[in-house]
Amino acid sequence: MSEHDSHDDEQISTLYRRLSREAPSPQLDERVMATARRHTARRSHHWWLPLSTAAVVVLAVSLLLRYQQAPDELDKEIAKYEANPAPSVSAPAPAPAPAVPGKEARTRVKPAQQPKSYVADAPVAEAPLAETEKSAEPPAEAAKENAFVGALAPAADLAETKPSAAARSAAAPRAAAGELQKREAAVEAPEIWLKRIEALRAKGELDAAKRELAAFRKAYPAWPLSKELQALVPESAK
Amino acid sequence: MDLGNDSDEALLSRYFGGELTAFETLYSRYRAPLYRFVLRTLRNGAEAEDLYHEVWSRIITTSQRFSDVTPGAFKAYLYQIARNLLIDRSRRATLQLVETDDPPEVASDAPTPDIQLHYDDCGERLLLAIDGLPAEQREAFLLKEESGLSLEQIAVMVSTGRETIKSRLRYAMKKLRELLEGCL
Repeated sequence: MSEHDSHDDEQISTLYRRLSREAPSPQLDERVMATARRHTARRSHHWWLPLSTAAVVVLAVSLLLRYQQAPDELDKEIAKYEANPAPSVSAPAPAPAPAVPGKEARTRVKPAQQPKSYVADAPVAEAPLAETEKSAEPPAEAAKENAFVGALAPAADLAETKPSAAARSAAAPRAAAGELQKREAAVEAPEIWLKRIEALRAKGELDAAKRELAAFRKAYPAWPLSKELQALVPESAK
Repeated sequence: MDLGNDSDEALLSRYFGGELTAFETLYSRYRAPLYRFVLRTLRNGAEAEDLYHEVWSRIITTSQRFSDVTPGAFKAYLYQIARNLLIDRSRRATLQLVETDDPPEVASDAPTPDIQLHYDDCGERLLLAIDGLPAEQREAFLLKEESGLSLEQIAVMVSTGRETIKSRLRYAMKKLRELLEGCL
């Protein structure tokens, strides 16, 4: 290529550049920018989506762990929350709670698992269980049912059986503190009570055993008694 | 924030980091030359607009993986995408032609020989001369003039040797010189 040709090539390039005025229309520019904007928004959305999902998962797992580690605390908090007396609830007497269903009463009398907090609802134990149809069921059946309930709920739930909302709302706030404590002290689970009576009988303290048994039968008229204890019940009271 | 001094590659990275202004800057650098390259290759305004938009859409949607920070890498990448899309379109057009036996489509803004008679302006003659170049020579000329890529970069893009590109350019210039006789 000669020097002249090279000079001509330069001129061609200069001429071409001078002609180069075409550019995309503003509408075309806007189309491209709209695409860019849309994808920026989508990318920022993609960034938030996994983050929010991860946050939800972490929250759920931590709540689950917390519940597994301290279900009692959570239950107490729930009970505390539910125990707030609702203004619409009528104020029944603090003592016997006949409204409590038999099933619930049976759950309450579960021996050995009787937690202290449960005793606070002791007046319920004095409820005339015989008046309810289910209360006539023997304790063995109640235990069976509790076992079924236990299979559905964590063991910790059973250990601290929740009272019904009505009973909960009626109990603590309305009873005078002193009277409640006296009642709590006086009442014990029927099985334990019967064992104590059995022990008195075994020791030969028959009078004391009879007295206790009379009191027991007054509280739990329908509660089935062993043959030995039935022998202590006076004929007139049978 | 002034992004004017940032490299193309840095701007692209910032755009993918969520800065739309970085894309605006990058876009403003290449909008006109890329558009002309597409327009003069296709010689059809409407098709050129569609393809031009498609090129930028590809950049926006697929170049997140683009990680080459070598200076000029983005420019080569941009024109490579444009070229690939032009080839695809050309192949589709050829297939259509074979299938339908339609006569070759005449680009709407490509001047006919009759109109050519009226072009006495050197500029218009140059554009006509470019249109009349064989495809490979026209591509080499337009890439050199519009993209500003080096011969080596064009050779890589076209998958051929530097000397081949040089030769294509030489032939292109020879023809243009002949067609622009009296203007130079």
